[in-house]
Formats: sequence, C-alpha cells, structure tokens
Amino acid sequence: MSNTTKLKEAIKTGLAFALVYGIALWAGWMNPYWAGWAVAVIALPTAGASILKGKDRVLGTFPGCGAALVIHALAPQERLPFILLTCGWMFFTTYLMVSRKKDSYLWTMAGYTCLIILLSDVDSPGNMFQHAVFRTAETIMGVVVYTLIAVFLWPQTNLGAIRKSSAELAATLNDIYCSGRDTLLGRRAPGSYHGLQSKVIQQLAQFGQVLLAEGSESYEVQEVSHLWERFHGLSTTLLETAGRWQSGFAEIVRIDVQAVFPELQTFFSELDSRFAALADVLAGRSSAHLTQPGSLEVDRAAVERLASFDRAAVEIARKEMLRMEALTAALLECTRELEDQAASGGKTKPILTPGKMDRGTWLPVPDWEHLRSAAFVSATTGVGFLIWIIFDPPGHSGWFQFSGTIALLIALLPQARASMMIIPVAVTSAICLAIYVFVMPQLSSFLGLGSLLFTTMFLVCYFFNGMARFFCSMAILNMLVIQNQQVYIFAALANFYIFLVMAFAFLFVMSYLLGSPRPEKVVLHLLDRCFHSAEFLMSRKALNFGRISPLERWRIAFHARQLRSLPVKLSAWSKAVDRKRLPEYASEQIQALVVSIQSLVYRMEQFLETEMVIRAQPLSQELRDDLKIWHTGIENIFGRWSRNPQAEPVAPLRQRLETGFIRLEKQIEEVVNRSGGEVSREEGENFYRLLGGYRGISEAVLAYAGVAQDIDWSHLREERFS
Amino acid sequence: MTSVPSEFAVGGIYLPPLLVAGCIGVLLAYWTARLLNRYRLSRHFYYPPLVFVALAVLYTIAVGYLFVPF
Repeated sequence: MSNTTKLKEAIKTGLAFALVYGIALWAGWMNPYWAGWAVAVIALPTAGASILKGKDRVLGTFPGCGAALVIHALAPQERLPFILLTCGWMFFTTYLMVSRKKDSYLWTMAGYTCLIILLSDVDSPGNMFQHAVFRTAETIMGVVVYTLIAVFLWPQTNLGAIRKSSAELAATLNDIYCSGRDTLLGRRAPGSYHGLQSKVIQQLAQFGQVLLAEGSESYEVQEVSHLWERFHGLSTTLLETAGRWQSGFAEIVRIDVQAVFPELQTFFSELDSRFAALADVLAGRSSAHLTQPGSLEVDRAAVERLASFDRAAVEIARKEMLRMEALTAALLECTRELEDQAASGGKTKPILTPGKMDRGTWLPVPDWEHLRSAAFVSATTGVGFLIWIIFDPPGHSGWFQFSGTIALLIALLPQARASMMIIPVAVTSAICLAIYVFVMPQLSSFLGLGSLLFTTMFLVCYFFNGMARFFCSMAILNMLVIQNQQVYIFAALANFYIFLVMAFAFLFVMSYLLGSPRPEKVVLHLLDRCFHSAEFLMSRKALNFGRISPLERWRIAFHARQLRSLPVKLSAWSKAVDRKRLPEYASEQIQALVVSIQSLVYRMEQFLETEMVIRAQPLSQELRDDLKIWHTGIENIFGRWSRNPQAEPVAPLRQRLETGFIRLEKQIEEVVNRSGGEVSREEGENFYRLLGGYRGISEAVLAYAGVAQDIDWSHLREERFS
Repeated sequence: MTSVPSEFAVGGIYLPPLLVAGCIGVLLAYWTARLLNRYRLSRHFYYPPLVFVALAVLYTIAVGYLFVPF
C-alpha cells in the first residue's frame, strides 16, 4: 500500500471513528465504544472487504445476543449451569470459527457478543435485553457509517481483483504443469514443485478472500459466484493432482516414457494449448482453442519390456495424467462459462476430486486441531469465570469476558503466541492511560474529544497494521473510557491496566493446558499424529480386511482427514519455529521434512484409493503373502515413527527394500510364466496400480528417513522456557 | 527497612506491597529464565512453565522478606 493510500485510509478510519462516537453520544446510547469497535475492526484496505466484514459482524451479533439472553433465561441464579452453558456456546462458536473459513468472522462475533452481553451489567442483569438491543444498534451504526465513508470518500474498490488473482493462479498452475512436463521429458531436473506449491496455496487463499470481497460489492460477481467457486475448487484439485503426479517422478524418470506413451507429445501439446487458452480467456482475449479429449494409451510391447515395478510406476503416472487432463478441460470450460457470463442456472457441477481416501460416513468428522482450539477457548472462559467468582481480583468480570475474547483470537491465530502480545498491550495501554489522565480532563466539548479520537485512530491506522493495529485500537477503546456522563477514576484505570497484564499472563498459562504451544513441540506432536493416522489407515487397508462397521468407517474418515490436513498444519507450524534457538540448518531440515511428509501423504492417498484385488486370479492370489509381508513392514515402520519420529538409518532400510523388490520381481515373472502370459489387462492394471502404491509409499518412507536422519531430534525435544 | 507492610504511593495512588513484590518477583523470574535458556540449562527441567511459576513465587517471597514486606 502506497503512503498516499495509507494516509487516505487512516483519515477515513479516524473520521468514521470520531463520527460514530459523536452520533452515539448525541443520541445518548449506552457504551458508545461498541460503535467505535465496529469501525476499528472493519476498517480494511478495500470497500468490498470492509462491507463483507461489516456484514459478518452484524450477522454474528444476532446469534450472540440471542444466546446470551437464552443462557441468562435458563440459568439466572445458578453459577454452574450458567458457566456450563456459556462454555458450551463458546465451544460451539469457536469450532465453527476455526473450521468455516468462509464465515469465520461471523462465528467469532457470535461467541464474543455472547460474552459481552452476558456480563454487560453485572449489578442489574435485568437490563440485559436493553444492552443487547444497544449493542446491535451501535454495531449496525458503526458498520453503516464506515461503509458510507469507505464508499463515498476515496473509494478503494475490489473490482477487477478477482480477474487478476485468477490469472495469477492459472499462471502458477501452468508453471507447475510445465515443470512436471519438462521433468518427465528429461528437459529439467525435478525439484521446483514444492516452491511453486507454496505459491499456489497462498494464491488460492488470496483468491478465496478476493472472491468474497468482490462478491460483496459487485452483483456481476455475485451472480456467477458459483462458477468462481468451481474455478477455485478445480484449481485446488489440480494442484493436488499435480503434486501426486510429480511425487512419483523418482520412479518414472528412469523409464523411456515417450516409448511407453507414444501419444505423450500430443497429450502434452493439448494440455499446453489448454493452459494458453485459459490465460487468454482470463485476460479477456478470445481463444479459438477447441478442447480435444486427450488419450494416453500405452504401447503394450514397450510396457511388456519393462520390469514389474516400472510397469507399476507407469500405471500410477498414467492415472494421474488422465486426471490432470480431465481437470484442465473442466477448468477451461468453467472459465469460458465465466467469460460468457452464461450462468448455468446456479447449478454447481461436481468437482473432480483427486481420490476418495476416506470411506463414506454419515457421522460428522471433526478436526483434532479445531476441537483443541474450541476446548482451549471454552476452558479459558470457564477458568476465568472461576477466578472471578472465587478470588475477584482487579478486572472482576473481565476475567471471564476479556480472557474468553482474547482466547478466541489465539484460537484463530494459533501460531501467534500469547506471550508475544503482553509487551504491545502493556505499552499501548500505558500511552492511553497517560492520555486519559493528562489530556482528557482538559477537554470540554465534542470538538476537542472528536479531534482526540480522530488523531489517535489516525496515528494507529497510519503507523500500524495487523495484530499491532488491533491491540493499539483495543487499548484506545478500553483505556479511553468515554461515556455520556464522563467521570475520571484513575484507580479504575490503573486496576484495568494491572488486569490487562495479569490476564495475558493467565492466557499464557492456559495456552499450556492442552500441550505445549512451542512450535517445535507442536511439530513433533503433529508428526506423531501423522504417523499414527498413517499406521491406522494402513492397518485398515490390510489385504484380509473384510466388512467394516459404521464406527470403523468414521474412524477411517477421521484419520484420513487428519492425514490430509496435517502437511499444511506442519508447514505453518514449522515456519513459526524460532530459528535462533535451533542449530544451524535446522529450520531448512524441518522444511525438507515437511516436504517429505507431503510427498508421503500423496503416496498414501494414491495407495488407499486403489482397489484391493485379491481375487482368484493368478497374480494377486499367488503374491498375496509377499504383499502382506510388505504391508506389515510399512505398518510397523509407521507404528515406530508414531512413537518416535526419529527414523532409523536410511541405508539398511533401502537395502531391505531393494531385496524385497528383487524377490517380488522374480516371483511376478514366475507367476506370469506359469500362467502362460494369460493375465487379463484389467487384472494387470489393477495389480500394477497396487504394486505402484506399495512402491510409492516405500520410496516416500525412504525419502522421509533420509531427511529425518540429519535432524538433531534431541535438540528439538529439549525443554526450555518460552 | 521496616518489617511493617505499607502501601506504595504513586501520584496519590496506593499500590499494595504484595503487588509490587509480585511484579519484581515475576521480572526476576523472567530474567532468570532467559539466562537459563541462553546457557541451555533449561533442558534439565521436566516442565519449564511450572519452574517459571515456582521461581516467580520464590522471588516474590524473597523480595517480600528482604525489601518489600507484605
């Protein structure tokens, strides 16, 4: 953001801030800072983003107020039911807040507003309904005032951002595809995928935000939002498919792929044309490219000359390439529909998923991290309540209300440490305390007060952003206690200041409640869980596995979800590890570890979606015992690593694997010879896919072991003060 | 130093001696923790957060006994 834009935005926010206080004071509404909060929070760089956040703030206020009134009606005099109901509501809203990215802020508000209204007037809770009404009215007023200012004064529009964002996304997906294509054709060495993958993940997140923001200020975008959502879904699936395709390159680059796939050049030419057409259409240019169905038949003679494991690798790669072909065709079709504005009646076509790793279950499948976050907020609110009613330290009901609110924030940004917030809060609160003591008593009209409010908010918005801006705004709103009947009580403010510092210390202690919040400890914990889930899924995919109960289906779906989501979480936490506290190169090694885990997860997905083909057919029947030994071996390795991710040395592992490959290769040859080459094509494909799945997991296990053996695990496990 | 507890007056605001001793205790515990981290001595503790709380309590009592009776 340029300095001029920053200046304009700061002026807009400062103006809206002073104005909402003026309106609330003029109308004699209670707690004018509620309107100020609305302005401080929804002031975002573009009008669309502000409108969206404002809408979520207003919509979230209603269920929050409703829940507070219901809780109070059900348990007006009983402490235990009161706190249990409140904690239950906080658990529910926090879970939705962290799991639903689309309306996360709405649920944040639903939890936060409930806490605010429940204890808005402790001495006379009979006024609770009045508080709820004023809270809602002032929030709406704050949102309306800021929206009007944002729309009419130097408007910063989002229009066009979605086109730019989608074009950037398509360009990076094209880069990923080109890197895979060139590697497969021997034009470049493998390795650039993971850098591009991180870029696409960021672009996808940005695209999602832009879509919501632009959709909130443009009817044209809103009308075709289902198509943009499909574009987003297809791009995500294409990224995953490209990742799975490229994770198998280590095995396939040794093979003469052009001999095995005679139509490979034509296939890639078609994909090249599709990506070029995609870029043209997104840039608003016409494209004459007509999508041709891409085929990728193998040359049977060339394939038969390959060793069994190479055939398996060919089968796996073919399947992924065909999936990419289908996805690129769907992406281009979707983009053309967008260009023509030919809304398909609001119907959303199904998105091709890279594979169905989990087995269907009608039960909800929660995410472990989301449950932990919800439990943390709920427990913090409950313990804060107990501190208030048992000890009643300075801050009083704030222990319940404020701690719960900041806990929500920590749940939203788990990598941000509570300990890191203590100093900014203490410093900004001290400055505001000085303003309250020395400046505010000198003011005698709204002109003076309005100027002060404008100046403070202007300075905060101009010089800070992100969390620093949020905490500075919080200090202004909480320390400059502005009311219609203005009184100055230094002791109350000093107590509040002490409370703030104590409350953050309390949150710091609470953050240890559900395990250490230190990033390196979290990384270790996530690795344990990753291997535990991998072990569980492997055990349920055993060759003799029969019928499964509904509970078992749910467990499979749960672990599949865990496995799928863990690489992203690992990546986020590994970036939060303090490099200064680790040995040299440790952070690079951890990043490499995350990449190897991502690769392992892709291989697990590929394997788990293969159909088990243990029928009365020669190949699978006769090799059943060997495959079982291999399966058990992998399962045992995952079991060991789930207890201790420090892998054994890679050399003996590789030797064991190579010996197994050679033995199995010989046996396959014997079986094929015995059956006189009468292995059906379908059985052959299925079997080699299964074999490729085992081989892929084994290679990924070796890659992980190779990275893990360089890491100083004892240093990572070492205890230290946070 | 007298052993009779007395408030600290800062600009007409009376602060309880326990609060002052507690703040000094926490600050001392913080610096001790930093030193222990720096020389990698914290690895010998089973659970450092609990050690931090214990250090803060011990320092508060020591400060109360020696400088700020409460």
